[in-house]
Amino acid sequence: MKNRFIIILAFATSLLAGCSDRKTDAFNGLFPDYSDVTIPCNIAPLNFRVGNAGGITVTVRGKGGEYSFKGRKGLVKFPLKKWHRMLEAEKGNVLSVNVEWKDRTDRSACSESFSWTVVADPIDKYLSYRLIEPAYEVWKGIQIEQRDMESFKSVLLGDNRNADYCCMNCHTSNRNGTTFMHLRGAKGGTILNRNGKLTKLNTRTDMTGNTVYGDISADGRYGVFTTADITFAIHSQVDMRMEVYDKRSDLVVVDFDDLTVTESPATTGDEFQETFPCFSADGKTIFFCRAEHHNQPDSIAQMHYDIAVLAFDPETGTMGDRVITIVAAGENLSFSHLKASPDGHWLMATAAEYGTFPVWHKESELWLIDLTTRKIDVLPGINAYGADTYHSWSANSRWIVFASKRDDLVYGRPYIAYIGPDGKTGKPFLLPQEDPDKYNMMLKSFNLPELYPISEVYNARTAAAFYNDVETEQVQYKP
Amino acid sequence: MMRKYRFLDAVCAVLVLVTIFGVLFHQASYRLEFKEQISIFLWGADRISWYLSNPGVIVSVLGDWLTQFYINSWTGVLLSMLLLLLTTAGLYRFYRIANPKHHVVMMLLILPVLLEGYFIPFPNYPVSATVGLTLSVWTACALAHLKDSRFAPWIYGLSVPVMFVIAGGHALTLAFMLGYLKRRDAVQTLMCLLAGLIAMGLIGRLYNLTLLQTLIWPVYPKHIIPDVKWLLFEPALVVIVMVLSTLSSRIRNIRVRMLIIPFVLFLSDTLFLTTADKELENVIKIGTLAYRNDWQEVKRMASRETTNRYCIYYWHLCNAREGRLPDELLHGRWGLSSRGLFLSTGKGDPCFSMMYFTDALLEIGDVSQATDCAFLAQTVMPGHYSTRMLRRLAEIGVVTGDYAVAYKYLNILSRTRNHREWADDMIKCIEADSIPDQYLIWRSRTSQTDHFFAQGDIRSSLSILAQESPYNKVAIDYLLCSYLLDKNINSFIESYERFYLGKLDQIVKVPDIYQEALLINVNSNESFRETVEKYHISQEIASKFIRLMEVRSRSENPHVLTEEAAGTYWNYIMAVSLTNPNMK
Repeated sequence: MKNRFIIILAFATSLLAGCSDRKTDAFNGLFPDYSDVTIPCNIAPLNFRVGNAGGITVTVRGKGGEYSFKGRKGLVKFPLKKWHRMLEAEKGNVLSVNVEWKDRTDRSACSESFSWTVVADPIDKYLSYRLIEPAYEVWKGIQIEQRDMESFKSVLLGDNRNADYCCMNCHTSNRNGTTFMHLRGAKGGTILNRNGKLTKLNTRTDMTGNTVYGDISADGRYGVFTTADITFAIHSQVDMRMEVYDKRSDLVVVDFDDLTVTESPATTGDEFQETFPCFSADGKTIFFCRAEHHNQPDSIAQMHYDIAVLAFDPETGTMGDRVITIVAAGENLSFSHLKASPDGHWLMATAAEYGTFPVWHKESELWLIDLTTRKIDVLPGINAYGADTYHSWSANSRWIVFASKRDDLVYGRPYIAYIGPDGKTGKPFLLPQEDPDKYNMMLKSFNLPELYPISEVYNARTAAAFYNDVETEQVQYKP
Repeated sequence: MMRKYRFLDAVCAVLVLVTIFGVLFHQASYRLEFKEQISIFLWGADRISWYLSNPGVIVSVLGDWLTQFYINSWTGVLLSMLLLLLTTAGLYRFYRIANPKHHVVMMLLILPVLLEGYFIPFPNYPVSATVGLTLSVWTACALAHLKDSRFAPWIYGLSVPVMFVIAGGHALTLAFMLGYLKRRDAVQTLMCLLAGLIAMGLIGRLYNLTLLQTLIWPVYPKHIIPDVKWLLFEPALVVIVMVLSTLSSRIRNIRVRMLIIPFVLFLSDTLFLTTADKELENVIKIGTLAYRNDWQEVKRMASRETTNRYCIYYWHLCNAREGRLPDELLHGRWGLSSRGLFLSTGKGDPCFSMMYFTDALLEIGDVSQATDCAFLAQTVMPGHYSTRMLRRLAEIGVVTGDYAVAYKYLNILSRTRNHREWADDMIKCIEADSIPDQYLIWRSRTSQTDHFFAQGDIRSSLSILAQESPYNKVAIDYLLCSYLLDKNINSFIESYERFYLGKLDQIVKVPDIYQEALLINVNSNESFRETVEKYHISQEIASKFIRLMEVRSRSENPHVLTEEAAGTYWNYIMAVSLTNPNMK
């Protein structure tokens, strides 16, 4: 018995020798930076870490009272119910937050104070994003995850390890119950969810290519997509990494009722390249990015995408034949990732120096265009150095989520920002995690974040079954 | 008689285990060490949730924890042997419980261990899989004590899905062993075990695994072993050998019993000869030596291996690091032409091709492709976490001055047992702004202006680097030597004129091989004089060339020419086409 005890003790000692929760001093201060941020009244607890801290006391003061929270080992985890009770009571108020802790090295007392503005407009309950290694040309472990914004629960919508390691992308929602997600590979197709009814579509026809980036009309009947031949080149400059570009690109509209695909002479042909289309809130206009074609990659710096519009008739599903440029890009500007707010007031775009793939462009910023006045706001309160891309609107048009590489310039992380009815913005904040250290430890980028209020009806198993077992429905070309 | 059997059995079992140890130590020690390089053990909320999101929680944690001790060429072997011994002991114990009146035929019982020993050297066969087998066998031993309980069938049925959650696919081994244990009152037990297996399949679905993935977890299909179905043979083998042992223990004839011994020894030899992939071991060994920065040993090894692509690649890299790439270019390693200088990084290439290529890419200053290769290598590995590539990515961050992302990797590494010290030192260097010289040298070779090139288009990248930094001798030598090896004289001369003439040739002696190549296109006395003058060809090489031309004018016999041109680039031009046209 004694011998056994010694063996167990020795094993436990060696186990401890192999483990370590030791951290470096590389991340001192509060992480994530939740100071002076504007938050929705239903957001999950803003748990944070304080580098090199031991016990932590957080005191939050608002009009509704004072709330006290404790943290240990440098981590503050707010109890979920107490957190939501506090936000519910403090809707529309500015909270004053005081964080006090003892430094673990020199035992000195430290503190930091800041504020949280709780906005009464809630954010959509769900957020989907793709988790992918930053090497975009090879994928082995792509996952598409749906996260509950009010808690830390998440479910997998797609996992390519049981779908031949195919590429999965663009989980997109119209916020009214219709979503799509592309699965590539031999048995791939576009999984379409129309109010709970799932189908797998082959949107490629003899006349039109594979659909890529897209948007769904508010009623869920139409999808507008880019059909592009996408490739990439490597930058020689140390800090530029890679450039993804379209050899050619056009627009198509898919009618999900009739399973037909149509195009317009205005957005086909070799003279211009069109991409990143989206519907206006009323569904009668298609916004998209358009640039004059140049040979790529040699002349890629000449590819400056304007923001253009095209009329769309929701009755007949036909696109107009007259393209109007509403924001010209000019010489050192190129737009991408257009998204119209559901209230019809705003159009948000990513602005970079050139090209159509700003994910690796450190200068990429989000720009907000007031569709009523055509005034452009370059959003200094939201943008930061490091690519800010792939934004998505909440159903109430008050919140955006976007992927930002501001923290380390390599790994995209989902940031949330407030856009007021008058266009005033709040300081963006990182999507809260149960343990924020997750961001420091994971080697995947959060890519293509998408907000929506209605939970997705399928999960990774269903998606895999769709990939493996369900026949695709062929979409027909409609001249 | 029984004693004699036991003694013989024990001796043979020991022999087999010693064989496994010997083969692992001599043939696979670097492959075992490689497991540490392509995995990581971290303890944090994110990693715990990752472990919990997959079956085989306990074995994954234990396996990853053990893997961090595979840090040199003997600890991996010792730990693997320890696991195999534990498994053998577990099988022995189980058999004794299942058949108290029978003699244990160790020679048969050791067969599944032998098969596991065959899998272990595969570089990306996870240690957790072996831990899974050991754990399943000992769980079967523990549950065997309940065999007389009336609840045994139910407990056994329930244990299978539970075992799947904690040990992965080896729950199948447990199910088979328990089925063997209760073979006499089989119906109820079998029904329960079958239900357990169905539950295991369903739980696998909950983990988003296919049936095959469920049965072989934590081994990832498509990352491992030519045919993963062999892994399914292992649980079956455990039971087959038990049945055979039961039958053979009744055989009183020692001669029949002794037949098993050569069979097992033959099998062990066959298995291990198949596993003893000396070439792969050498490929991993040379990469590991480079990882340890033991460049002298790398060169020594590369000088011995003249046909292996990776060794040729490292041979050239060692010479490039010493500034002697052109001088040593033709010393027996030209069979692959320029493919010996660079490694390919396409979708079908093994992860070590991408891992190793980062060494040369950093040396020439192509940080963009080095980053891409490091990401790719990490992406194609089973767990997508590699301590070796994390170190490389951190180094790249330091070279490029992207300290934020370097911190990220260093912070992860500082939580590991083996790389903590290195990571802490690097962090201190960054914070004190005292970056080690090697990184500053690499930084000085990087490109500061922007051009595009396709992934893998190494020559475009080298031209850009040469254009930007006239004194980046490593890049210029790589570019010129790649043309020379491909016998592309026009491109060589063009690049020489762009990057060497009037620049590098002013500060370093022009290598003989370049001078020889510059004379290749000479076709008249006039052009000879012009060439010698323009490129400052040395008197010695010019005279050699004249002599060769004289020999050529006298004799058409290619062998006479080859002899005269021995050791020169002219010989390479002739010899490659004359002697080895199809060398791969």
